[in-house]
Amino acid sequence: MIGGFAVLLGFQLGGEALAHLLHAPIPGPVIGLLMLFGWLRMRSFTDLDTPEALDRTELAQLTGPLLRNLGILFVPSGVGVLEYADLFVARGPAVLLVLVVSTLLTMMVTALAFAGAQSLAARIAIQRRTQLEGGTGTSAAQPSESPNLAEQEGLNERAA
Amino acid sequence: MSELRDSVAWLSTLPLTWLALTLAVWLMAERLAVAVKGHALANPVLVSVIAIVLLLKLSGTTYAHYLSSVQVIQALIGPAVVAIAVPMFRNWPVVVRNAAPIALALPVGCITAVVAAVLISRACALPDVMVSSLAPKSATTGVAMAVSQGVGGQAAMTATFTVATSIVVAVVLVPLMRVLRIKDSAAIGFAAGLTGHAVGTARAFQIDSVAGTFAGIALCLNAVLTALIVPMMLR
Repeated sequence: MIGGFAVLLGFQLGGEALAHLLHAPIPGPVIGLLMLFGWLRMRSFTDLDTPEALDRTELAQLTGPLLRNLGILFVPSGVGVLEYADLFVARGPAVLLVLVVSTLLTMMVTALAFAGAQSLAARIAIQRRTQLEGGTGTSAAQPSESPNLAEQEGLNERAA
Repeated sequence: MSELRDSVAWLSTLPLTWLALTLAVWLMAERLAVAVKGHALANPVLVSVIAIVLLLKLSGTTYAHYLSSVQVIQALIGPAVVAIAVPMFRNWPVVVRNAAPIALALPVGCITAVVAAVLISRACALPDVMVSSLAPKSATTGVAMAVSQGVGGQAAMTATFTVATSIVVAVVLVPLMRVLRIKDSAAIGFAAGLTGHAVGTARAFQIDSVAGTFAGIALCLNAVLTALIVPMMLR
């Protein structure tokens, strides 16, 4: 567990340092996230070549429980919101209205755009496949094409 | 009786008391969520926040004292954000497969978030300082505060709006997606992270690790894009 924490804090520190040096508008932990991701990708060619190898690391054993309980970390800042309750009271329901309506709208538009693009991509993939089959349909292309298609169809089902 | 009141008063000055109470309240809020089968309003973050506020009021404890008592909890936010790299690495094939939806939903969602907040708050005749403080509210708190100050907003006000937004997202996420008939974890997670940054991401991780991964990706990307778009729109 300590090993896992050391990795997380080390990358956070690296991210904070880089953000400070570059005057980046991005928070240090976000840069640390990207750096840790890059490091894991590099290790996927050596020791982290299977999901089981990742599960065995102290890092993965810490991040699983940490991320499943992410919510409690934001209880203190949530309490701070009610500390500023006068902000909401002062402007009547207007601020609450803006908050709720714009938030619902953003979630709806984002989710629909995402799901729409998914089903469109899946449809294009199927069309391309039928075109390929209608054409020469060389036997060599077949094995490499089918697993990809199976994935895309699965995607289509989930989007629909 | 007065001795009892004295010891309660003494206990409420101890940092340990508030740390222990926060954990206890969170555990009870989680039990409650399970008991009511995950009803949206029984969101553990929302329930815990309300319970803690009541306890602070009852004991006459200031928010500043509470915050300094539970600093160790807040100190874990940074490492937890870094930790998102692990499920992102694990789910990378799904991310690559969804590159096109991400590329579309990111700008569409980010622009909707900013434009909706600005237009609706102007329509409600809110003062400019509030409009500027509301505009970046879907970005993660640190970024939103910096962006808001750059366009004439107020950092503390922005932090409040930002956290309130993410709690709204955590509460409505599952019912809203059910209404929209969206079942794909990637789509649900992306919407949660883009709109509701950290608490939205926390809610997505409760669904599954794919939803959490996409929420984390959306949180990062939207932080960057919001920092670019808000100054363009409000200047």
